[in-house]
Amino acid sequence: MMELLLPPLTVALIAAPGCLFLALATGWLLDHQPTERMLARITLVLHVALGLILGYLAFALWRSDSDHLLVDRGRWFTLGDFGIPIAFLIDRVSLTMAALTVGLAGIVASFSARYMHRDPGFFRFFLLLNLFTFGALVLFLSASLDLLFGGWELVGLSSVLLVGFFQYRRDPLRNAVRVFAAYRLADLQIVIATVLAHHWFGGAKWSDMLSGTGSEAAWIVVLLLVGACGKSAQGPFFGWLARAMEGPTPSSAVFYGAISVHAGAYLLLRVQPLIAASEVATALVIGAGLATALVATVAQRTRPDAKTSLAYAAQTQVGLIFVEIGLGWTGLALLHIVGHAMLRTMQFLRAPSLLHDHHKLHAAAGGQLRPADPLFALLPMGARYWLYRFGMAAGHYDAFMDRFVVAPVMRIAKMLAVFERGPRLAEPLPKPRTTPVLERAVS
Amino acid sequence: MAQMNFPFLTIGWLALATGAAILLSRKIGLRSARSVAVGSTGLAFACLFASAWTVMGSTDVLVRDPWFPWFAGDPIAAVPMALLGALMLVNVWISSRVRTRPEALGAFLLIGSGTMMAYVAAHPLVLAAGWWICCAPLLVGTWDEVGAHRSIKGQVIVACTAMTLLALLPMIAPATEAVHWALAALFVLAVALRHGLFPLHGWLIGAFEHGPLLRITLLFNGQLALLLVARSKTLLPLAIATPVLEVICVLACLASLIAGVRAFAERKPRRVIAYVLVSVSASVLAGLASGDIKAIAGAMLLWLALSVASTGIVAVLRALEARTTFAFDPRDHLGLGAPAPRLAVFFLIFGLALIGLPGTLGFIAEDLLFHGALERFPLLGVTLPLATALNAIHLLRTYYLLFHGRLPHHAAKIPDALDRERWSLGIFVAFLIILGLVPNIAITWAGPAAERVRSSLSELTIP
Repeated sequence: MMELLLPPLTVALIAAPGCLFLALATGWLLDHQPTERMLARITLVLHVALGLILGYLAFALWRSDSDHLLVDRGRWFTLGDFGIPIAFLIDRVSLTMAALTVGLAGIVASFSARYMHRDPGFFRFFLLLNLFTFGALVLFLSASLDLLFGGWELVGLSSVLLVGFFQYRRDPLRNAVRVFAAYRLADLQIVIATVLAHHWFGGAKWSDMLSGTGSEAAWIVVLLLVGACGKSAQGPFFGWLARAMEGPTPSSAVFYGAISVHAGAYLLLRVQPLIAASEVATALVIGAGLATALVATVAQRTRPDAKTSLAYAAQTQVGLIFVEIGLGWTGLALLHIVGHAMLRTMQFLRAPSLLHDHHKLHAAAGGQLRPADPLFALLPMGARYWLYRFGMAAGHYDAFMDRFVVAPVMRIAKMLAVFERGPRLAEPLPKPRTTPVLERAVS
Repeated sequence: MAQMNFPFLTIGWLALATGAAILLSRKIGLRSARSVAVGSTGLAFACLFASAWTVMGSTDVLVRDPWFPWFAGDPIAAVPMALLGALMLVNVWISSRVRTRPEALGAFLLIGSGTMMAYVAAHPLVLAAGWWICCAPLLVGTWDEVGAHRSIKGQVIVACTAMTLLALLPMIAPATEAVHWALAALFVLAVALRHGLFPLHGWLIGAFEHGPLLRITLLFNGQLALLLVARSKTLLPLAIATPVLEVICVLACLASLIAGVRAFAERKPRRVIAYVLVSVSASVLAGLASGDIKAIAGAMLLWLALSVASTGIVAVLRALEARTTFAFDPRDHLGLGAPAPRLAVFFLIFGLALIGLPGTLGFIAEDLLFHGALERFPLLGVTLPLATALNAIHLLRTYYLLFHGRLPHHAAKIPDALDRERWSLGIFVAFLIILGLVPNIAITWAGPAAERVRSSLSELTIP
């Protein structure tokens, strides 16, 4: 009985938010939009149902003799011997992440029903939240890198669309494009890793990949590490998380405090045996995590606004999670992810009433509340100034990227215009213009 | 060689050509013109669909038309041509009932008839004639008020001349080594110019910027260079066919990336979209010329996705330009998403389908294409996913530029998608999503077609 119910329930768990998204979007295109209350209720009921299914899956896993359950639904498509398997893996890691997703997305949906009340983008927000839940469930439950990538992209897309949620201001739009650029360049590495996994290991299922050894496995894991850094704002992709704070606070909570920001860590947890087998990969994971944690913790202390400060704090913790994975402490890393996601969601959701909370705390402490940075107070004044400047500039990351990546690309793009301007063309050359995203960098 | 039981191809082509002739004679009113155009494209689509059905059900490589033996259907071209017929019908359907001029519709049908002739050509000279006919509106068109026109015209003439010489040379010259190299050079020139491969892409960008959008998009979506590559081994001597295809593959990979980089310096939506389309179509060309079965199948699927998504995205852009002239060259974010949210969503979906959003046909197509290309050319193949990443940035940038931001006063009351636009674009979206979720439907065509491209079974034979 349990084996019979497992496949349809797993598919239902993943497909339900996607179907709701499609139904809502189709209805909207046909001029049928539910009321705020109706939409919030549907979403809440969906998350309760998903929670019940997850409970069943957890029970099935507990009752089974194996440490994992595999739900194989054949192939999405087949061309010769190539195809993308529709297979889902239920084990303690994937189930934990799926439970986090359903739980926290449900809490955020419930919170947003009031927080976003009468916002012109209420419907859009819930639509994207459902798309995100669908993408995250695909990401965490997939048994192969191919399918994981599909979910990974959907999470990225919904994240970017929510960063640009407040459409009347320019900054969110600029920042959303920056975030998207970081995502796409990082995702490129996952595409290449998937192709290499098919080429070298004959498939991209976790079981295929973990059978890999030697330099091939090391190459793949390094590429995946870059992809993971992109999603988790670590190492070379350090700069985007603070920009992503332009979105609505509930989406910041569920994306950058809880689920999306940990997706990279989840990917590394999945391939941890490959990381452990390669000294280079181990060093890179630890190095990326440690460097990000150090820079982010300094930057966090200099931020005047609550959300950006929380974003850097989240990066610090994710950096430490990377270090734990690099050291092979996978159990601790998973625990750290769960604890951090919950705490950070709560902090983000409380961020709009931070001053109120602070005043209450201040009064409760009898006016004796002190800054909680005794370590920095021990440093000499010169070092503190230097660290302050370093933190304010977020490790000079943006300046570096603008000067050595964005500006050269723009120069090349303008130079290439030479090939389009023939001598017989009557139209004068347009004045060189920069894109809205990049104009600040060039100036 | 099998023969169709009804002259679908001849009747389909005649429908388009007759419609074009009636409309270009300018002795017809606006409303009647639209009816003629809808009738012609509707009949042509029905014939093309029936011929595709016949061809796919046949075991023969070529299925000849019973009336005109120089027309034949093959599995490679049948499905894209039927799709193009559908796109033409939809484009005519969504055109304005009172503002679309008869000669514009006539030129549109002429491009369609030339494209169809090239697709169903069973002889190289018919193929060359198709190239000339579909470029005719561009060469003798009514949009020569812009300065760029002369340059564009020159490049188009060179491309069509190269194609004509490619068809003629084997008939008039002996098969010496010099002739072989001349054929190779003509082939590369024709493909690079017609497809807009860097550095010969200027005419296509200029045409998109200054020309009538729907006609240029139809000309672009004809993808005659792809057809040429798919049939290359019959147009080129076997000894040089493989190296020529490798050269084209390398050029296409680089062109895809360069177009992606070049678009960073652009802001006008028309130009940005033109670069993205050129980049994606170069990816398709690279996949088709790569010789890898996965890459070819992916390229063929991307060909379909590109045709539908580009038509959709251009239809949205055209709708915006018809509503507000600021959409042509916005100096700031326009915020048109507030009064026209459905157009915004259509734009976003088509754009994301072009760059492989999961759940659309583009995702499957690019997955196959990247796998094939990276396996075939491990280093050069990286340019394709990289170009896709850059294209995604451009599309999001343009989406935000057009649809987000503070709405100017003059655009406060522009209408959202009209019913006919909503239904037509909705069908495009449904096509992309259904084939994206159930890709085996499309792979049933793309797999065998890719196999035939690889083994060069699709031959042009003289009757």
